[in-house]
This record gives sequence, C-alpha cells and structure tokens, in this order.
Amino acid sequence: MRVFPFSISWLKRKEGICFQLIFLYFIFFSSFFNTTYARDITNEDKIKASYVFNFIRFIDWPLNQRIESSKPIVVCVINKNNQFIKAFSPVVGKEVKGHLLTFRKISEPYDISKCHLLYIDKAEKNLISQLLPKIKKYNILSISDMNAFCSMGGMIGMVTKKGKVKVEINLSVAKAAGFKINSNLLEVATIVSSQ
Amino acid sequence: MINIRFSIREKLILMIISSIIITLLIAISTISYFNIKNIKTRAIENITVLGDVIAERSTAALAFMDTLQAEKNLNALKHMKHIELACLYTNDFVIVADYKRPADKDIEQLKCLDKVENNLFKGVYKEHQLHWGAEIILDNSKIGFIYIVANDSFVFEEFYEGMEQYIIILIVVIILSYFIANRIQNFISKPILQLKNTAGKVAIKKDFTIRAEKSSDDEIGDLTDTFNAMLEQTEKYENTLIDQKEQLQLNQETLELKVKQRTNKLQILNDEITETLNQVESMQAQLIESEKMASLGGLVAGIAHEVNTPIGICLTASSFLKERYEQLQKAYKKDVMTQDDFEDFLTIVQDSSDMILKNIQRATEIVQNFKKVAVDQSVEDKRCFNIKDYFFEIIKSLNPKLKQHHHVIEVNSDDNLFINSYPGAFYQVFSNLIINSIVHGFESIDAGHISINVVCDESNMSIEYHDNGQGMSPEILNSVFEPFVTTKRNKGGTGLGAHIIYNIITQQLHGTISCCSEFGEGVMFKMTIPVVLCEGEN
Repeated sequence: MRVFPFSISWLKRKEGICFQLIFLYFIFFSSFFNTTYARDITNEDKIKASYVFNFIRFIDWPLNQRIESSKPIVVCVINKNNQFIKAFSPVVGKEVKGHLLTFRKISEPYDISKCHLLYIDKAEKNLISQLLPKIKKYNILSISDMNAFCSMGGMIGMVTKKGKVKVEINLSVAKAAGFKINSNLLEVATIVSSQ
Repeated sequence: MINIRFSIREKLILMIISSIIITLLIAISTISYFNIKNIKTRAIENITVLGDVIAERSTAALAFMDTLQAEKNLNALKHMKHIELACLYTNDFVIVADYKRPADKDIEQLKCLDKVENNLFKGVYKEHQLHWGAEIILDNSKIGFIYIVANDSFVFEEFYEGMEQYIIILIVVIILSYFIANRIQNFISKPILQLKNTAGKVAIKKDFTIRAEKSSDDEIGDLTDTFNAMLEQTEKYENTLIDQKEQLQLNQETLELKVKQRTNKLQILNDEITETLNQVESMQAQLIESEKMASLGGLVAGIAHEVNTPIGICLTASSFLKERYEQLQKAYKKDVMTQDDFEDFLTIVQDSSDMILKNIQRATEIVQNFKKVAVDQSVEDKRCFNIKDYFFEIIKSLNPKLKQHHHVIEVNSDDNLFINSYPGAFYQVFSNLIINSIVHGFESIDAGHISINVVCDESNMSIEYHDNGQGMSPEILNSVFEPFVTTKRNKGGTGLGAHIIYNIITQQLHGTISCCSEFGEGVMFKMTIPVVLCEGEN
C-alpha cells in the first residue's frame, strides 16, 4: 500500500526517494505558490494554506450568505506573526468558484463581519470563546489548525498526526450554519461533533 | 477423390439451404463486425463513465492528498473484473494511488504509465487491452489524472453471448429452410423427375410411342413438349429404319446369294484358268523343248549336210575303185590283163584311196567339231572354254544356213579369254540370235553384217550383239522377250527364240539383257553376264 509521502516514518525509510518526492510536491504546490517563500514558512504551512484554498472548492456557502458573483471571497486570517498570511500569497488573486480570493489579516477588535472564511492560527486558541459566537452570527466558515477546534464548535480543523495533516469537520455546526460540504470532502475528513 | 452423385432434388435443396446459410452468414458476420465495433465503443463509454465517477469521487482525496481514500476509491474497481489497472496521478504525474488486479504469476504485472498522454482520453485498444485516461478537474482546474486499463475479454464475452443467439437462429433457419426447400424443390424437380422417368421407360422398353405428361407451362413444360416432339420424330425414324432394315436384310440376302453364285462361277473359271495355265506352261515347256530339239535337228541336219559331201566322194571313189577292181579281176581271170592295166589300176587305187582317206578325214573332222556342240547342247554342265573359239564353232555349225547368203559375222574378243560357264547356253543364245538375224533382220538382205563384241573384266562379261538388218518396229521391240511374239507365225516362227534367250541369260546365267532397235537401223542386244575366269588349254 502506498504511504502518503508526508508520513515521517516513510520519509525515514525512504530517504532517497523522499528528496525526490519533496521536490515533486514542491512542483505540485508551485501552481499555487509562484512567489518566493519566506524562510519561516514551513511545508506544513504551505499544505495548510493549500487545504484552506481547497476547502473553498468543496464547500458551498449558505443561500442567505451567497457571495455575489462580482464580489471576491474574503479570507480572514487571525495570525499574529503573519507567517500564515505569507503562506497564502501564491493563491492571492486566484479565482475559486468564479470569485477572486482576497486575504485580510484580522486583529483586535476582530471585526469579522465582512469575512466569508476565518482562519484562526493554533496560536490564537485563547480567542476561540470570543470568536465562535461572532462566527455563528455571521455564518462564517471557520477553519483552524488548533487541536480539538471542531470539538470546541469550530467547523473545519486541520490536525497534524504522524506528520500528516488530517481534516476534521464538525458537520452539525456546518449544517446548522447552512454550509453544504461536498461528500468527497466528507470522505477524506473525520467527522467530529461538538462537546 | 470421393465422387458424390447428387440427385436434382438434393441439389435444389442444397442450393436453397446454402444460399440461405451464405446470406445468413454474411448478415451475421456484418452484424458481428458492427456489434464488436459497438461493444468496443460502448466499452469506451462505460470506462469513461466509470473513470469519470472514480475521478470525481477522488477529487477531495487528491486535493487533500488522502492516499487512503484515493486507494479506497480505486479499490471499488475490484468488482469490475475487466479492470486490470487504475492509477491516480497528481497534476505532475506523481502517482497518488493505484489499483492492480492480482494477475497470474506468468503474466507480467501491469504498471502505471509515467505520463497520461492526451491520446488516451478517447480510449485506445492496444494488445487486447483498452487504455483510457482523463484529467481530474476540480472547480475548472486540473488537479490530477486518472489512468485505467481494462482487458477486452468483455468484448468477446458479449460477442459470444450474441453469437450463441445467432447460432441458435442459424440452426433454426437451416432446419426451417430444409423443410421449406424440400417443399419448394418439388415445383422444379417433380416435372423433371417425371420427364426422367418417361425417358427411362422409353430407353428401357425402346417404345417411342410413350409420351411425357406436361405438368407446367414453364421451361420444363417446353422441354416436355420438345421431348415429346423428339419422341414422335424418333418413332417415325424408327419405323423408317425398321423398313429400311428389312429391305436391307432382303437385299443382303439377295446379294449374298448372288455373291455365292458368282463365287462358284468364279471358282469354276479360276479352276479352268489354272488348268489352262498349267496346260499353257506345259505347252510352253514342250515348245521350248521342241525348239531345242529343232535346234538340235538343225544341227544334225547341218552335220548330215557337211558330212554328206566327203562321204559321197568316198562312195564314188570306192564305187569307182570296185568297178576298176572287177574289170581288172575279169581281165586277170581271162588272163588278158596287161601290165598297163595293172599299173592304171594301181594309180587308180592310189588316187581313190587318197581321195577316200582325205574325205574320211574331212568327215571325221566335221563330226568331231559338231560332236562338241551337240554334247554341249544336250549336257548342261559347266566347263572352261575359250569364248572366241566357241563363237567360231557356233558360226561353223550354222554354216549350212549362212552359206546360202553372203553374210559376214565378225567376232571381236580377246583370243585368250577363257570362262567357266555353260557353253550349251551360249550356243542356244547366239545360234538363236544369228538365226533371227538371218531369218528376220536379213530377210531381204543378202550381205548382212553381224558383229559380236566381247568385253570382260574380272567378274562380269559384257557382250554386244549387233546386226545391220531391217530392225524392229516399236510394238515388237516392247514385247521382244515375251513368249510367242513373232512376225513369222505363218511361216514357221514359234515366237519363242527371244524368250528362250531371255530365260537363259536371266535364269541360267544370272545376267541381264536389253534390246534396242529402230526400224531400218538394225538391232542391238546388250548382255551383261557374271563370269568366272579360268585357265584354258593353250
């Protein structure tokens, strides 16, 4: 059985091939990230950024929140050290579902009313309790790479397990907010419910 | 080679069935061809649908690099037994997941391609496999590729399923067509068979009064009419033929009778002719013998004539001597004999005895000469003789005849030419030739000239006999050697002379003879005789 190249154990076993595969993945992601990378951007950041981009492709916004065709999809990022914003730079200005992607960094007082998608960095775990009611209020698609994000009431979580980024979805929250998630995405994701 | 004889009925059935089968086979082949084509097209459509579903389901797995999910999606293909291989690639042809149907050990395991080419997007049949590929699109963006390989056994399985139906149809059609053909062929074969049976009856019974029954108005009906017309004609001909045959038989019998009668007559005539021929041959032999005897008689007459003179002289001398002796004896007894008387008597005795002796010698000489010739004629033996001398002896023996005229005979030959041959034959030939010249050639000539020229080499002797007499007419010349040809039949000629010459030259001497003559120009006989030379007594 083929092991996903990001498996660390596999990387250790196949060091030679590992280098080649990393190089291939570099080419794969280069379609999304065609600018120079900052030294502090890790592969994981890149993957997570591409995942966020892909989530938009598999998810339909609620009818009452439908984004007008002429307007861009606003991706808001709460990330103090700007590292993740940089990771998004390759997909800035790209079209998804006929909309341009725009990125906006959110900081205090965390006005997210104009956001369609909110990415909360795992370092901002303390803001969850504060942000979740707002998210619910504005029907924003919430994504975070912090552990147990979905359990806490978030919609989509990206959990790194054994060097592999896994997707978790809190389907009930997403459904309640009116989001339609593509069954294909659900197949690759782990369904988590709120605690 | 097996020679199968089919009846017309079987041929018709075979023709109908084979036509149906061939048509059906062509139809089935055409349908099968398009069927296979359709099956292949459908297979491409099916694999496209299948591939599209797999691709669609694998978008998230590709987008989120979920290998497990990708493989899970591909593993769903294990239920499709024709699918041999399926591969999922990223946009950069990195294989994310693959599915391989477990293969037999001796079959080489298929491998994912390094790259999915555009030509595979429509499906490609290659080495009994269908290769198909497609791009995986998510939100109008290409996120990867899918590549599927299916074996084409399903094409044949589906085809064979169809074929089973076709075979059943084919069998049913053959059976049905046999029954239909069997019924249909009757329309054609029945009238033909009827015609055949009629023809058979006519042939067996030799009855030309039988007529075929016309059962249809088609070509076979026409054939029946023609056949009947032919029978009618044949019947007429047969009747005529029988009449002619009878007439012929009668004629033949008459002819045979006539031939028999003629044969008998001919046989009788033939017997008569044979008898006559025998008589003629016998007469001819007798005549030849008579001729020989006549020749011998002539010879004897010649001898008698020649001897007559010296014998007469002797008789006269001896009579005179006796008369003178009686006169002297009378005178002596009367004792009146004188010395003169005695002396006269002595002179007379001397003269007479001389005369008698001389003439007796002459007669002896003549007899000696003629004896030779006579012996040669009567004894058919070979001996060695000088040819020139022998010619002179022949001439001498003919002197009684020659003396009556002034003919000259010239013999030109080598004086020392001796040959071992039959002198009697030469006598016969040349005495006849000379007598013929005297009797015929010199009939009105007193001083004729005959020349005999002899030339001889080691084995052949050539003799030319030539006279300057009156010659022969062409008619006589043409048949000169045939028997009984003569111009003097009423004057003692037998017409056998030249025939005897011819027989002696050709049969006894084994030579050749030819004659040439022109009327008034004399005659020439040319003879060539094979001879053996010998040493004569000098």
